[in-house]
Amino acid sequence: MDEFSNIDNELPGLLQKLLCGEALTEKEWQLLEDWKERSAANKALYNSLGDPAAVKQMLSTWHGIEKNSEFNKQRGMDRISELAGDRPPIKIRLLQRPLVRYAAAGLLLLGTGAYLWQTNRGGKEGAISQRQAAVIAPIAPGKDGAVLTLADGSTVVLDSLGNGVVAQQGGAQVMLQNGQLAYAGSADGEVAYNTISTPKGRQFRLQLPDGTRVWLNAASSVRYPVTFSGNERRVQLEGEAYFEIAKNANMPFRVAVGDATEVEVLGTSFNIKAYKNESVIKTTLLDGAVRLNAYRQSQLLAPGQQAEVRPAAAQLSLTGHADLDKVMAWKNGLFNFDDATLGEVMRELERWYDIEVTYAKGIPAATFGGEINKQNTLQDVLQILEKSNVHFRLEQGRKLVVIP
Amino acid sequence: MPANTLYEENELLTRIADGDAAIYPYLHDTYYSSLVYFSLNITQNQQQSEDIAVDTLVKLWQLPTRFESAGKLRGYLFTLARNASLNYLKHQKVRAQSEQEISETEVLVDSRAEALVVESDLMRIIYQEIARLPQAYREVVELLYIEGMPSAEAAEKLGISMDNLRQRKGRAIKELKTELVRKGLNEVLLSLIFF
Repeated sequence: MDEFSNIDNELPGLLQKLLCGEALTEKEWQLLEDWKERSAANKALYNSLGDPAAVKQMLSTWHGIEKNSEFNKQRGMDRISELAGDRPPIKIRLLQRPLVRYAAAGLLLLGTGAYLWQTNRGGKEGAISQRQAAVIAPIAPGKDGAVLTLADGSTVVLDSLGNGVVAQQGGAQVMLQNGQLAYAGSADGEVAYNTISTPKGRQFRLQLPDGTRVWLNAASSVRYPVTFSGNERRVQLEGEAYFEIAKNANMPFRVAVGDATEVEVLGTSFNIKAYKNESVIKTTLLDGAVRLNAYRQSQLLAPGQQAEVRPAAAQLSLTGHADLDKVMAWKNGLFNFDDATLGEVMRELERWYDIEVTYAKGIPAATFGGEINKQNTLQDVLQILEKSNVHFRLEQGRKLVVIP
Repeated sequence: MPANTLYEENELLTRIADGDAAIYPYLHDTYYSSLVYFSLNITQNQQQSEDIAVDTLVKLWQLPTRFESAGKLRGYLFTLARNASLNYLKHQKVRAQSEQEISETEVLVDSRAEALVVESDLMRIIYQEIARLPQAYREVVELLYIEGMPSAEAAEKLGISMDNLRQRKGRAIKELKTELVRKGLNEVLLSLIFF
């Protein structure tokens, strides 16, 4: 069908010049004339270009085609991948920002060059297929935000509010300042409790009525009185939080975790990781002193020490000196996967990216190392993890399947 | 949308002959819309024509071929699309065309082939001009001119006032080179004044 091959490439451009009201050269006019005379259809097209309604109709048709173009481009690429073999080729995207960033605190990456490695597995190259990478929009990292539950049970979503007074609780004002919740004034009468909770994909900072600062990780909550009174300051924690306790020797600070664990604070900063889907409750002391009480056992922590409570075994044990960088990575905007199992890594990702993780064939026995910036999209993080021979499939509805 | 990468003709043809998958996005950007446009003129069914265009491009990987020139490549693609489109008509039972009608259609299609390819290439050029406008202006052109949405509805959809819409339209007209599109937009402007 040579009628297609011999079409002059210049003609569409010439017609466009004409439509723009530009002058044509003698030679160009001649070319146009020849084309017009070549067929009735050419001439009809030429004539219809003088009719705005006809051009509009043509453009509208083109517009309708362009709308589905990207979708069909992907379809075509998928089919070519299928032709090429069982698995679509690996597509390494160039990222605008570095995948791994050193934390502001100057945390050092382990290893040189390879910032992530796997200790116990070899295997074939992993790949998120092009189809999945393209069909599913990038899953953004978590951000600041929380839900405040007031004493009367009403809730305030703190994600989108600007600075100012969020609520009145008795005589106390609840204020939002640059994304951090704080209390001013004191309520009298009956003790009112507020709860701050973060869903998956959110973290939040708040200042308790006594001045204690709390950093709440994703999928966590802390319940506290609007005004501390009596002879102790007592809060209830679920999930993970880092505390910097305001000193008050007359009123010890106590964090209750689960049913049987309590951290008694003697003026200090510490991190508690107590997610219900983790088998241990880890308390790590950064500064000062805390006493851990659980199952009729008691343990005093010195700075840098970590203790674990295993509810299943009703057991409390000191695990010695903790890797503080690892414990505090979340607060510093990092994932730290040093010696983490795949299960631990996935639970972190679930909380931060608000996804559900399932395993196609059990949990592969893999351990990881290294740090990753929490501001990466999920896909970016998965790409790093895939270098350690774990494979993933992202499905619609924020579902991530781990394939061996 | 045009691909960002431009290939030398020879490199393009070599990579097609090699079955290089990385060249597919470029080929799609270059030919897909024109193939659909062309096929749609025959089938009158966009879904069908989209399938035909994809099939046509994928065929280059099913039967790797070394083409003499980009012109030959284009000829091959449009010929495949032409045949598939006519085939679709033949298998369309609803329309129950007689053999004679089909052959008449064939003749008609072939007599219009050149005009159709030129028309689709021209549309690509004009559309690219609109696509290059800043987003605020492009949206106005797409809604008011191409989609023919009433101006009040367009203003609401964009969440802007009628005044703002009028301003954006004015800017879009200034930015566009194609007189016919400018005229078309201008006509929409008139109806706005009476709102």
